[in-house]
Amino acid sequence: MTVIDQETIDHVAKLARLDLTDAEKEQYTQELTNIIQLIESLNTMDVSQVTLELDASQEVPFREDLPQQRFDRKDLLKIAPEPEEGFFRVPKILEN
Amino acid sequence: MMKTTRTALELHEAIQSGQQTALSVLDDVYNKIAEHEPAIEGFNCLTQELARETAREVDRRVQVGETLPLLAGVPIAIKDNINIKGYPTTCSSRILEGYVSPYDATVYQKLKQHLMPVIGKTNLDEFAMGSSTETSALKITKNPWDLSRVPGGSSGGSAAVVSANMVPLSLGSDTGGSVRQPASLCGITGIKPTYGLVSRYGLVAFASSLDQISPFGQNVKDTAALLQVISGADELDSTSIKNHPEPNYLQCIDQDISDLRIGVIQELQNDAIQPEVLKSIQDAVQTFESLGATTQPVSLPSFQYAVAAYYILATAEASSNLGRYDGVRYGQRVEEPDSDLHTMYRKTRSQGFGPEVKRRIILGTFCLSSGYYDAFYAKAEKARELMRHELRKAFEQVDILVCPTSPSTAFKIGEKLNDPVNMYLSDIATIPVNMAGIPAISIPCGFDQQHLPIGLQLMGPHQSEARLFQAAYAFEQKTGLCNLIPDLKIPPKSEPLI
Repeated sequence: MTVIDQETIDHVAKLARLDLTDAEKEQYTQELTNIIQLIESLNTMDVSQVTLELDASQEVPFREDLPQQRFDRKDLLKIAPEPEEGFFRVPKILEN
Repeated sequence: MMKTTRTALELHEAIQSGQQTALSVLDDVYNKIAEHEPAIEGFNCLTQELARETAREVDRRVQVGETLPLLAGVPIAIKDNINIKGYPTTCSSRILEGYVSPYDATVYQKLKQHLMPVIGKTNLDEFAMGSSTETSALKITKNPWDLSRVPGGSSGGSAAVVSANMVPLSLGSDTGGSVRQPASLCGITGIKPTYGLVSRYGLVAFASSLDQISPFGQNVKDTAALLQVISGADELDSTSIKNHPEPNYLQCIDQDISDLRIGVIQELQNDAIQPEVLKSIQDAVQTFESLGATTQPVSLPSFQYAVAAYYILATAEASSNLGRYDGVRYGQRVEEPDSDLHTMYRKTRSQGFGPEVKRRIILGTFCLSSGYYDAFYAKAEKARELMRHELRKAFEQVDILVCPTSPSTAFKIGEKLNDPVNMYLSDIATIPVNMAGIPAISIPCGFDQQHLPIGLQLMGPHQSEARLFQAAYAFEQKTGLCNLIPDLKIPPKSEPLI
């Protein structure tokens, strides 16, 4: 059985870019343990005969690679939290 | 009580013939909303200006004698995870507070081409993650049949406003049952079409391989007409079905079903299902027999793995799809002075997402993380393949499969919110349909002892919507259940609302 401990939750939260409070960590550790228990029922399934193939029933559609303008730059910047001179401003990414 | 107002198709005819103007139809709708919305709380916002503009155009065209497109003038509500340019799309999440869509979803373009006034956007579980609409960060929508109960979810707002007879039609989205389960709990019709029949462009992504925009209606014909309006290939959605013949479900909807072969799913006939629901499904099977259809039991053993496999695949896709909410390009940003980029990401996401969304992002990230991928994700894909295989085999024997839509009728607000496993099991009968990409419709088939609606689910093979509508329509004609609507004049039961 897969064990979910707080260390696992810490690691996964870091991968998912989430900060969790201590209460949340405790809650999710317990809840995920229950959910994992439910999904581990898959282990009783016989999948030895199942091969995964790409669904060939539908052709992969292609279209001409033509430049199109669906959005106006100004419209998109209008909904940005912090637009600056035509760009998205973000906090610093390099050390001084 | 009996419904006395016009159906969507009757409204359309009345508008076309000049008996009623589209604007007066719209006034009726907004009057009903003013009356019932305070108790139901199904809407996140109303789009009156937009609706009036469309209605005026309809009336202008009627005056000059134009023939209107199908359903023109009929008001519709849409789930608040579908984009309309210039209007908010909240997904009932704090993280999208203040967001105004810069583009239209393809389905909205289609509604516009058909001159259907969009009257408002409806509440949902946050990012469509839930089965009760309680995970919404904005409000708790009530079930019109009993205001102390949930309307189901995630498209609970869209189901409740149609059930309460505020508006005749609405759109939801169905990833694991999010249209069929609320249709069942609210006593209306909802169909999840074949994957790819309706464009997903402009629907906020939850689990892209499962999501499908899906219509609600107060009866089978109205719902069929709406699906006719919104379906079709779209070059902006590479998963939309190409070369699909333009559907005309209405033309052959009253076809005789005496040659129909029906399979009754054995795995959904057990003690996990509320006894009154089981009984009602058995009665429904007899009704089909009385209409000349033949029935037989069908076993689909892989269905027992459906919920497990779904919660791996859907959360894995969600954890990836929701990576885009990072506070950079749109939506909320939470930033402290001198914080670096990663801190901004974490603060934004932690404060913007609610508990269920975080729970699913964590589960999905876990299932995809190094060392667990094969044990979870790869195995779930195999379960999905097994389900597809079993369904293909079953549809060699029968035309449609029947089962309950939901294992129980509407549950109490708060009853399952803190028990995620129990909540997830609400979708046990609907999930396999999304996993296989097939269509399924939920229609009312009776009431339990507390007078809460029970839903019957009919599934068919890929692109069998016409057949499903015929079967559902024949059943509806026989039972007349679509004419019953909740009596909202009766005060809610004495238990306190949460």
